[in-house]
Amino acid sequence: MKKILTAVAIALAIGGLTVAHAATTAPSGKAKYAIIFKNTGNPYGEKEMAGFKKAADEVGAEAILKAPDQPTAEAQIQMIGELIAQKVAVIAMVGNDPDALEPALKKAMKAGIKVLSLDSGVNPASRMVHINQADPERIGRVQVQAIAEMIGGSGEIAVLSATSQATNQNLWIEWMKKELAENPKMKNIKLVKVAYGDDLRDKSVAEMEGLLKTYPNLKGVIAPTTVALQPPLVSQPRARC
Amino acid sequence: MELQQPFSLKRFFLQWEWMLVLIFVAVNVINMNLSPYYLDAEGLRDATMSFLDKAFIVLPMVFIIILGDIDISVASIVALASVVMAVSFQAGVPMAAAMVICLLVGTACGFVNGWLIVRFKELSSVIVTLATMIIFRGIAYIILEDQSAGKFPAWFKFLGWGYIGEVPFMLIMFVLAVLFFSWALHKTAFGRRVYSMGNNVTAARFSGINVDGIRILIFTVAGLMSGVTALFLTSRMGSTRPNVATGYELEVITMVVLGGVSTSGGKGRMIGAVIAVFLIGYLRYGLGLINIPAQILLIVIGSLLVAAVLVPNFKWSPRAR
Amino acid sequence: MQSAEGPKFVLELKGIHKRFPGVRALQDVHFQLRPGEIHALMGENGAGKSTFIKIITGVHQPDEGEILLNGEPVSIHNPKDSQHRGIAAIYQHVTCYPDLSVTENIFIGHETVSPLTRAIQWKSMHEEARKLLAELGSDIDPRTEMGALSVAQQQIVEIAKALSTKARIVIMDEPTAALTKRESEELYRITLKLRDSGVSVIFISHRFEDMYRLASRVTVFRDSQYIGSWDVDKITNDDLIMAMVGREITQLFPEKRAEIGAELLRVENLGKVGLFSGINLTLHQGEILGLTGLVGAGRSEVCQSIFGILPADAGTIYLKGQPVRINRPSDAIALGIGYLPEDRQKQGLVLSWGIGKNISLPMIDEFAGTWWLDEKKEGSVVRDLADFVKVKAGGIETEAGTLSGGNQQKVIVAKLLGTKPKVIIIDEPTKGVDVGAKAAIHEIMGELASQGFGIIMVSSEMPEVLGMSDRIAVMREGRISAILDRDEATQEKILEAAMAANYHAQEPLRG
Repeated sequence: MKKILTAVAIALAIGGLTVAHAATTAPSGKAKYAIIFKNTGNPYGEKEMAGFKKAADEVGAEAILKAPDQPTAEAQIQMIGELIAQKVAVIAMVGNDPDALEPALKKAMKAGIKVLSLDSGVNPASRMVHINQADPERIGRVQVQAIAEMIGGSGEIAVLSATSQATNQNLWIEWMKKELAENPKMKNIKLVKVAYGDDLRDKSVAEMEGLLKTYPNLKGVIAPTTVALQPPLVSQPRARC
Repeated sequence: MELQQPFSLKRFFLQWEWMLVLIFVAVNVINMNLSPYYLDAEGLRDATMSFLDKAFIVLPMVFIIILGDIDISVASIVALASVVMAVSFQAGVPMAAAMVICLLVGTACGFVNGWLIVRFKELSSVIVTLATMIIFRGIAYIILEDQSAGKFPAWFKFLGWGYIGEVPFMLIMFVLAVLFFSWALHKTAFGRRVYSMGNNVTAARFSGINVDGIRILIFTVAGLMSGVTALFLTSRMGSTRPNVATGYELEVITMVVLGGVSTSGGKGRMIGAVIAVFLIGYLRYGLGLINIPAQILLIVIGSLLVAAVLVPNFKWSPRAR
Repeated sequence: MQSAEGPKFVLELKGIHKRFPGVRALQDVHFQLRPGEIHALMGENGAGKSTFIKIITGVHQPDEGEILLNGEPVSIHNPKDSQHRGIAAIYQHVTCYPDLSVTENIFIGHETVSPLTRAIQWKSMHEEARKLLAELGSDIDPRTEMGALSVAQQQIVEIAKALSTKARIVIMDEPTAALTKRESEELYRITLKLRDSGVSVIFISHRFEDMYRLASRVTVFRDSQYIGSWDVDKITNDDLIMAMVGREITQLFPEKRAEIGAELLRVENLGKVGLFSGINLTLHQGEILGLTGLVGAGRSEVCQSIFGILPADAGTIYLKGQPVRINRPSDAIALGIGYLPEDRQKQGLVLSWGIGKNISLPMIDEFAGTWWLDEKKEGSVVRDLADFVKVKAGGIETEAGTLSGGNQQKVIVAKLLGTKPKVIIIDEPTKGVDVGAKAAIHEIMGELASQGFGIIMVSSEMPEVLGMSDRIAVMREGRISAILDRDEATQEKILEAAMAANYHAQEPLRG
């Protein structure tokens, strides 16, 4: 459901930008719409890129899907340079860092490229539009409520997120903390730690194991990223024995 | 020039450096055919800036590998130097002073590496720098705790993004550094000593060469140049995190080895490594332009590396033994 | 198992030729080995001895010629083949596995295994090894790690290994080169024992003493050619030398003695924990001070501490009466002390470099111009030095690793002279060097002394010590046990001082 919404939102945004961009489209062939995701091997990212491709096909543009092998801003800067040289019409950015991409993206905008960010946003100076595919407040609050239900309303919980610079996750975590503070039902729930798995499987597993060892009374973990979602399945049985 | 083998045209062209030049030309021709956007002065120029930051470490790494040593802690030094710079800037230190601190941190880390390697001769440089790699990165994490830091003044961006005339500032600095390091390696008594140590460190010691001092100095310079890389990288990113420059050590070592510097020490030249820097850089850029996935790129570079290790060992002419 | 009416020769080679691209390694070589004889093979370095051995052991195949084993023509395809045919070789640099036990080294490749389980039968192997060693009159514990043994003991193990493979022909390639006098005696005894048990031995050595003590026949090669074979008791020393070098060497040691001048170097109470202590030595201008003793007595260590490689932790070094501190080799070189190391290939040369770059290495700073090295000046200075010591090579760009031992030694001498030393320390100047080069090196040493250099010469070779030194200092167990004047020194006095009454044969350090 969320996926479809995302695709629709992107399609709308691209549609709007395309109108604005129509004049600068390369004379030969289709306009190029590029997306840069955080890194390869992220199931959510693959869905997101697939949706992007579908939307680009619908508006008759060529889709370029890029993702570095490591979730770093350095690699994304390099890719932005490659896209500028290819004279793409649009760069849709899922940033690994809100600020570090600013110089590169500003350069892209200067070259006439429409820059939007989605999912994990970049700072306002680095983009024209940001698409929030979900309501951060609702995500944050609902996730806390869900875990409260799962653990029976009291106990220690932790968060295993993506990178510490992932804008969207950080926003959700803010709302989680607010929900914990504001909702009287949550007064017996204690958030003991926010850990970062950097959207890498091995690091997520290691962080998860760290959480289980450090907090033996841990009742639940919120993992607001698909990569971090996998480790608990791996780690928990081990922790029980 | 009679100290060298007499000049021979055949030998001159059968050098690994020429192979690199050939591959470099081939890569460029292929790139031009693959992507109409490749041959674009501005695009190429800007692409250069995205891989030059780590190239500053390649220069001292050539010295280290000629000594027969290796330093895998350089990327961690970059991270630590960058993080300390950002944190001291945020604590109110003027930016210029913070930059000096960045270089000092790098130099100090390099000195620690060199001192440990000389002091504990039973430990190889791989082991020592493996340990410091973890330690330096760990300190960076302790300082910044998985956060990012930045908000540098606007002029700091000039380092990584600025031009002097039409030439990137970084490229100018790199060319100057290459000239200096090539001179030191190939034209001075110091360079001759480094080569002698790489070939036979015992004979070098018996020849009155201060082998420990030279080793410490070279590792210290590698730290300093890691600090330089930290400056440029941080400038390009506008902010820093403890996990910046991850994997740089392997990229740097790849460039040096691809440049024909033998990991068994004593052989290789600066020019080869410098060609390799541009070869890998443009290869990456060209493949990026046609949007080849990152993993395939790694396979291509890996194959080149295997060739670099094998080809110079291949005997060109039959030799009686 | 051998019949009384066996063939006349266990091994015979006829008209062997071997060429390598550009080089004639062997030309029309003949060789005859009788059953149960020790046959010395002599010749200068590069005379073709090594190639000859490699043909017998199957490493190389001859281009022409015939190999007869027990009268039967054979071709030996590879080293394993040669081993099966009962040929074993023992080299100067023992090729062993230092981390394995003596037993494992002896039986490597032909271990005793249980016929049922294929498990190695350690007990019986150790027992067998002990028996083999006992046959050779040695009481080395077969469970000792090979690396813990002295070179001499390792060679005994190698000989035991040869016996264990039932070898009928044993080749010994310069086995005594790394041994002390006493150890050599032990080796002689074992070699004779080997002969008495019916094994034929080919013994390669530069030492005349080895030949006289052991061999009944001697064959000489020169310049890849077979020169001749003689009964040892029917050829004079001079004739033999002439056969080897192709010219007459009338005087082995230079006769001219230099004027002894003022004091150059004096060490007082020099000591280093665990290596040596209380060393007092004086060296004058024009003097050659011989420093001798058994290997391991601390001779090289004393010299290396004067040169700053092993800085002393007690005592004082005086140079021309002034106390000096020497913490590293560069200090010593700056003060005018030069050191000619014992191990040429490891300590003296960068083998992959040309002669010229090797010679200039310690004085490279002299050629530093304002901006870069003055290679022109460097070239002319090193050429003069190379000419002075008479290096025989194509040019100064010739790779040092391709030179013969004697020429390598000359390159190191040139390298040393380039630093303009006043005191020269030479560690085993002629070890592994052939007769011709030996004389040349001695001549250079005499020449240097007469020019006013002071020379400390560490040597294990008695004739060299007696022939070259003005004074002789003998070391034993880290101390100076005697200082003898040239006139009073005799072989017996030196040996007595070096070994003393209660000297224990070198025991294994561990195990």
